[in-house]
Amino acid sequence: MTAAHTRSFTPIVKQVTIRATPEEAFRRFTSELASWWPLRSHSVGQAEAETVVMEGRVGGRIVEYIRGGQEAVWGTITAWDPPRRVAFTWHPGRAPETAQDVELVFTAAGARTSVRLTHRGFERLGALGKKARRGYPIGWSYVLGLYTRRRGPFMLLMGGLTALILAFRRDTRSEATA
Amino acid sequence: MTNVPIAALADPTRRRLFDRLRRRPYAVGELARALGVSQPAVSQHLAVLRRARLVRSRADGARRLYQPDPAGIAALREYVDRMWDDVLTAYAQSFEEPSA
Repeated sequence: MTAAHTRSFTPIVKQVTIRATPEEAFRRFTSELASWWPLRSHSVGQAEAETVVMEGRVGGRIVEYIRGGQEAVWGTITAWDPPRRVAFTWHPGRAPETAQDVELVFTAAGARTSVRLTHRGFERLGALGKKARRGYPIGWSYVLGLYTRRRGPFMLLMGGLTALILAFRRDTRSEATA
Repeated sequence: MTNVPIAALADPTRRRLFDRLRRRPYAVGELARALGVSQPAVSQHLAVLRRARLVRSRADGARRLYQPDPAGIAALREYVDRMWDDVLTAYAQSFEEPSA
């Protein structure tokens, strides 16, 4: 069980090689995000999602605009180094306190560009669970409450992921001390 | 997308129930009292959570105790993994179309 948990908290790493220069690849992922991101399936508003904008600077947000004037912040830019690297916090449909980190690194590979994505910070959710148990106002209901207002599967999944990580983190700890 | 484990937590009662289980193992009767829900309803919710591999049970003398199932989290991490596969596939494809 401990081994399975360790695996569950390790970062997710993805790599894709695309037919473009690092400059084009970087621009497509950042300022042209809305032109290709699968908003219908991977957004807060789902069918009502209108667009998503990445504000290109450290401290800029990744914001989804939803029909009816709502906004959903997916994360905040933490590193902005075009065309080599962009990093951001990641909490679509969740409380910012549950943010994880996503980093993209663009490397020229001949006429192509290798893009490596790393999604880390699963273990931080465990620490958050610990805080919640000590009585900080960041509990399960708070984390989940944010996604119950909208019922999109993406949000359910992301919110639920948080919830489960908290739950299993707890489970591991109690077994360790038992 | 709805057949993934976490969809089982779309129901508010099941979330409350799961919230209880993350504190300690519970028997059905205890859960029903704690949540103010009938015992058959609790059993039904637990069955959904078990099918989703989010909850498992073990015998404790005459009664059965329910607790979170660690198999669920592996499935959820797989979901995030697949999400990035979908997203990066769409990203890579955007370079294959001349009009993109």
